[in-house]
Amino acid sequence: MRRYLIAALTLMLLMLIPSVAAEDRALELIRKMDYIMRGVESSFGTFTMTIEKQRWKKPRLIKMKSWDKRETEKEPAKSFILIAEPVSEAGKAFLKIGNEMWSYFPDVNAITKIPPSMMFQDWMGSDFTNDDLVRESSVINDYTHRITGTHKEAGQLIDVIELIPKPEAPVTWGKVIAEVRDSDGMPVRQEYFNDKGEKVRTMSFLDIRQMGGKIIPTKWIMKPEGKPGDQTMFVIDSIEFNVKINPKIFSMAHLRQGGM
Amino acid sequence: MLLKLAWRNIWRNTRRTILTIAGVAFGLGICIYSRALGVGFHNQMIRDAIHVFAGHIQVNALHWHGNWTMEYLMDNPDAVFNAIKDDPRIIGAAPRATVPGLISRKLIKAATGQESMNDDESGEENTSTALITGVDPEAEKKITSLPTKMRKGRYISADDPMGVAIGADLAKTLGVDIGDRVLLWTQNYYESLEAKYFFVRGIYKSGSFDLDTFYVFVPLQTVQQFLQLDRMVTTVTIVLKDSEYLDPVTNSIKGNLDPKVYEVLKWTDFKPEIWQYVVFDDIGGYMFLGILMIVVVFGILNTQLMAVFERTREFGAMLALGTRPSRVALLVFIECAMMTAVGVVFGNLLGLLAAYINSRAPIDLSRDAAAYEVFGIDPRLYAAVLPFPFVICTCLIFSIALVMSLWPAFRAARYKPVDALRHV
Repeated sequence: MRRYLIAALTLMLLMLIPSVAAEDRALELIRKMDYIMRGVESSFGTFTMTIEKQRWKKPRLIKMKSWDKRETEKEPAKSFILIAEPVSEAGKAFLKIGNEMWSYFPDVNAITKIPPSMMFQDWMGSDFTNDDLVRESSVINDYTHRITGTHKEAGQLIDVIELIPKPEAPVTWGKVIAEVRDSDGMPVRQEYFNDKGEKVRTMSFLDIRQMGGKIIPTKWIMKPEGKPGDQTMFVIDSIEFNVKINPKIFSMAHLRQGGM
Repeated sequence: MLLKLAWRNIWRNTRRTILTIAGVAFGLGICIYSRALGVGFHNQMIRDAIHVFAGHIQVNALHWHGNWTMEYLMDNPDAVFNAIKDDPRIIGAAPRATVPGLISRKLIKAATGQESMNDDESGEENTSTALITGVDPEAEKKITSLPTKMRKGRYISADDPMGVAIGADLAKTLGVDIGDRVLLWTQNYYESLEAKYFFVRGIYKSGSFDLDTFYVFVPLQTVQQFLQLDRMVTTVTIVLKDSEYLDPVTNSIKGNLDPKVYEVLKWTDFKPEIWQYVVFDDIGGYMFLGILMIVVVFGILNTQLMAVFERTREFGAMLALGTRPSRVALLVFIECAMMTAVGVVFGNLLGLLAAYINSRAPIDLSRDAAAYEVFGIDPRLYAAVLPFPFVICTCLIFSIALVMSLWPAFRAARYKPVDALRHV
């Protein structure tokens, strides 16, 4: 009798191994993806955001510069976005320190702190929210990861990873599904679902090439679900990584300088 | 012959009959007056709401009403103006662009006359939700009375693009006065946040809670420019010469506009709270009426039943002599009807008198005005002298009375002559 019990237990333990291994592989891929997207000390880039809405006659182009500094042990993550074009938006600036965000409007010389209630409103009328820019959550630490399948796209093997937020995590999504390249963790697509399991939006990563010394997707397209014809596209025009950024850039004073 | 008999029978007990008739008259008088007052009050409320700002009819892009977002703007207000051109039933129409936003006080420091570098961190920054409404001042003056309700300063005008007019309650909340600077925040056409400074040129008091607390009036062109709307608007508001034209004009406009693009709403649709209040109040009024009438009619019933019991021997004699029971019933019935009729005539006169006096001299509730002003109701109440309350109350009381009088009538008819004659 005892022998059978031991055999059964061993069998069950053996069965666990593949699922643990699967989780490990998922985590490994997510780490790779995170490194590609965020794994630098700092960056400075210029971007063009193109917003299309079905009811508009033509797309709206917004050009901006952005400074980013990753969090260190002593300081939280910081970033600064300055809008350069079009003329009606030029000079608007956004400062993010940790999970707090401020905006500046040159017309009225006013710095406004974005309150938590406004975090889920569109940023600059795009399909990204203020929260997306602030994004204090970590795709590695705040979710559990599980590979749910694979498929081939354009001759490449793609892993489909299901990310479920952990209970204490500062995440409002019910679920995120990330599709990454099996070979290097390059993100292909991310789908965001709400608490009810309904898909809310899809982000696609395109134009993978070398820029600033890294191979990254240079075109990101966010499409909200249920609104055909609406999308927001970010294109990286130029980017430098691990540059030294003057800390004064991440200050209120810099916000006011607007179009300098 | 029966009529003469009935009439004489009534007056056999003069005092009782007079009392009964008086009961009917007063009861009816009160009913009529209360309805007249109700109608007058409601008409006033409606008139105030419509003519101060809301208008009779509103045309907006499909789905805008209820959503109020940039998704549903009207590209071409001209199409609406064309649809109503030359309609003699319309006084006029005005284009409006209403967007929800925020207003806050941004004072300029008087001493130096220049803005403080830290003015966003200065102590007193009062902020309020606002309904920023771009209007054409000249068009508004033609069709609404709000421009005449300025308490301080003046209404906005097209050649003062940065001047706004706000309600007295909003001015008090923000702590601003004429000439003060305010900051308006809202979303532009691209749903991106926009903010701009304006100056308070006028403060009005309309009596309507919404208007006085939330609305901020800005010249339409300024709003269109600052929010990048080009020529787009959110609504076109139409005021009619008379509210009886409401349905016909609404239908005529609907016929001229594409229903997939435009929505045509009557005030009962876009200001349902007023309509609902009227209906609610009316129902209450009719319930009161019903109860009052039943009380009055019981008065008649009481009189007539007593009369029937008293005249048992008389009815017995009539029946014994060969009067058909149906004629006896008819006699009693006619007696009732006559008393009611006389009462009704006097009741109408009383009601008319009361309504007329009240239509000239209002009941002034100004001391308790606070509650009324929240709803934008003028605390001076006038009654309306219109046929409707008279007709409906008279008909009601007549029908109830006549139905009720069947009971004593039948009692009288069912007497057995033999027993009746011997009744004590």
